[in-house]
Amino acid sequence: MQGQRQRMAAGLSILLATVAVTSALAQQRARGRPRPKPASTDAGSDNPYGDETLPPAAAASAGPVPATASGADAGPVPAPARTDVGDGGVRVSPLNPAASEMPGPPGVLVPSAAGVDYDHLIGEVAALRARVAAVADNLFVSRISIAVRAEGDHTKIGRFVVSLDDGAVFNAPAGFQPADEMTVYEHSVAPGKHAVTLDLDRKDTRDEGFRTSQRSRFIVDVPKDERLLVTLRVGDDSSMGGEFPADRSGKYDLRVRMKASAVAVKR
Amino acid sequence: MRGVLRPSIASVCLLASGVALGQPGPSRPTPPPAAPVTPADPVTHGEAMRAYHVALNQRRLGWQELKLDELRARLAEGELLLRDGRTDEAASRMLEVVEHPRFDLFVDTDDGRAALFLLGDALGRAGAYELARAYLRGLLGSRTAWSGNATYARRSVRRLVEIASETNDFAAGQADLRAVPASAPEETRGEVAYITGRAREALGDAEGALAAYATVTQASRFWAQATYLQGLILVEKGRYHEGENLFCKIADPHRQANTTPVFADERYFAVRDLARLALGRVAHEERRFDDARYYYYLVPEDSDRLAEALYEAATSRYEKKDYEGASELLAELARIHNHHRYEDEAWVLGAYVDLARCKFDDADRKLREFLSRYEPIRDAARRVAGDERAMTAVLTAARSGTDAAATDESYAGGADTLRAIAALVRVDPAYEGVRRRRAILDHEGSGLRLALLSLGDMQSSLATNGGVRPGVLEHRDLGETRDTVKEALGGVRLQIDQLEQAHAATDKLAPLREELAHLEERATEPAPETAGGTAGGAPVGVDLKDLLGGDSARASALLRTVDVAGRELGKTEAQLAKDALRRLDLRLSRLLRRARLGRIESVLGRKRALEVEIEAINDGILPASALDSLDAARYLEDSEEYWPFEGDDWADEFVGSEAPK
Repeated sequence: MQGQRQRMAAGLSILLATVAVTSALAQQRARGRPRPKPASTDAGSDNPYGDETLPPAAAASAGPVPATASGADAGPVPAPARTDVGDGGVRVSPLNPAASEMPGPPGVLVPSAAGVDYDHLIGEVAALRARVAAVADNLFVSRISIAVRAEGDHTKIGRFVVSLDDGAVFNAPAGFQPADEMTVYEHSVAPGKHAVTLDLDRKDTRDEGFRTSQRSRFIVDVPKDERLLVTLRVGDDSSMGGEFPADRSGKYDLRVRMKASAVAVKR
Repeated sequence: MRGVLRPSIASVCLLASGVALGQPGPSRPTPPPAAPVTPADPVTHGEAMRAYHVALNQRRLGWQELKLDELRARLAEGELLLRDGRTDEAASRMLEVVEHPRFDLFVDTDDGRAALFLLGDALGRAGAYELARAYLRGLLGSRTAWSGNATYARRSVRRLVEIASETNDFAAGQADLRAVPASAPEETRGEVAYITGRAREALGDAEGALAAYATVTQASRFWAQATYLQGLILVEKGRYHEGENLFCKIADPHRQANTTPVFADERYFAVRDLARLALGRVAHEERRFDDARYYYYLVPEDSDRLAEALYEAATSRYEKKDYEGASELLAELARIHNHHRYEDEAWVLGAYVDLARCKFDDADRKLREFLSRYEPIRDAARRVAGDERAMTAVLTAARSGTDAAATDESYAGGADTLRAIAALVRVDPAYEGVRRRRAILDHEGSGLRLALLSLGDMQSSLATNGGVRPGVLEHRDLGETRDTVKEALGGVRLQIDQLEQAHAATDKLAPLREELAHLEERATEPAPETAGGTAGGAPVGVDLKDLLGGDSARASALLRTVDVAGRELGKTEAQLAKDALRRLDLRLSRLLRRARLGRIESVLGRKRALEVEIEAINDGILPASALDSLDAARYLEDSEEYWPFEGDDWADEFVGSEAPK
């Protein structure tokens, strides 16, 4: 009885082994190993899946209609493109940003690599400038006074910097529009020749794309013991912003004129 | 899972809060508590001016006496100068009087305090924060500062708080206000409490910050800000309900201009909108989607946060599976004609809403349009990151809300592309700080050159006993030369960009770009005359000549340091700008990938719809398209007309002997 069982077991084993070998031979792969998935090289890779990984809960849950896979005869499907579905059936937004897209934490200015203390440096320079100006006021009687005026119907001033001897003495705040004559600087200076410079950016209020910039430099002579009144008048008759878009014809006409007159200083 | 996917709501609220609070919020995630740092006391550098006064007096020059009338006249002059924006002149005029040897006589009077305050205010406006703090601290520490109405002491506190907010240096601000007594007015104590809260928060001490903010009352102009920040801390700790209660205090829709706290400044309304957004986010986080919808709805149409509110409201409706609601909100968002920072995300969300509604064709069309529009923008953003001029133009426009194309019209990528990049880029708060400091440094450096010339004039004048200035203006105009070089380099860059757009060979463009970068580097190097400076150290002595000589040497040395610092800040600014564009690149790349995924889903969806239709036909249910095929009108020739049967009788039909109706 026992010998009969052993023969049956051996026969069954041979039969199973034969079936297994036959199946294996019948399913020989036509090609070698599949190519590995190309790695994403940069942030802008065109791989639609990029570096995104689906959260386990979303990957495990069944998606709605568009995400449902088709039948077995539908051919290869690129990847399971499932819509994220949160707990309790809430559909989580597909557009949650990555932390790396957020601006860095704000804080105090990055310290200088060269060991410069910016605040201290600015303080030192401001103190030196203020005291030099104060001392010059006591040493020189001659003065220079710079006034400005801007005319023009559609003029918007972008940058307006007045410099004396190439050092900025007035930097206009945003929205500066001196329709009337306005003194922007008055100080004692050494008598003799000085350079007054105006850096000006002008935009058209009708279309800010039409802009023009000018740098005008005037050499003036401040007489001894006199006060020189310098008036810078900005005239603008430009029509580019108003006419060119419609008529294909326009002009820039920005002129900086300077008038100077000296009067004796009252002692 | 939601917490993993979305950054914490407190982070988002904080990122949004930078503008309204006047300065960026504290860093997130919460840093570990740091040891308190005692900031160094600011110094006035006033001894140099006092030395000049002594030297001038010895020569019978300058201001011998300081009388009350003269002080008052100078005060009036200073006020006028500040009103006209002539801050440098105001600082100089007030410094002269404050550092006068006889000013001590007035230091405990209202006029003396007014002079100190004006000087501190002028220096603060000019960006010389350390000097401003030194003088304002001096005012607060004086013996009689808090007697009477303490007008100037209170104004000094406000100014010091503003300086701390502008510089983000809250620890220094807290130290500046140490002299404020507990008996100070409620409004002033509110200022101190607010700065204390910010300082504690910056150190990671959330409990300390909460305690400080809780003492800011409605009498303070910072009540809304303190309440909002308190709410953020609580939300970050997961105490949503308490945070929500605090936000509600600010966001109350019944609180209008005439019922707002009297001391709230114009920023109150910006904070109010932030509080409403925060309420929406808390409700969203807790999946109270209808509440979120209501809170987002409270953001008014004239608010800068409208696009944010509409986009987030649409997201919350999508998450609630209310696709009609999401679609309506997105349509409302699309009616904002200007570029806004959510336009790219809203586009993709709209497509996903269509996908969810099984409108696969619409979704696919939107996604195709998105890809064709934003892929070039992403590529342009990468190009802009390599072009300093275009990068500055874009970030300036993004920061100030101006037209990017108007800022730099020479960019080869096209005006609308620049506008789109400017609208989408999220500027790092640190960038603004660096840019502002660089502008201040440029202005001070420019003024320093004038001061150096002026020192030379004064030395010559003393040497020649008041001679006329020699013709020293033959030197070339350095600023103009630099501008010309910059413009020329900009032109070369533009030509290279145009070549690249015309698909010129990369191997030919690379050396050109390399050479251009080298030239640009050289253009930023300091000019030889400033780099050299004056030889020799500062002369020692107390005579006017010695003092002028000393200051001349100091100015030359400072000029060199200013050049170094300016270049360093320029590099930091460019680095931060590049980082902002890199983050934009990451975001657009993510959205482009998401759009491609969406297109795959739309194809799968259409396929599934066909399968459903086939299954229905198998079950004997004809689809709508098949039913349409029975319509006779489909089979008419072009020359034929089809008159459908409309019944037996017409209203005016003549039948038999009846009269027409």
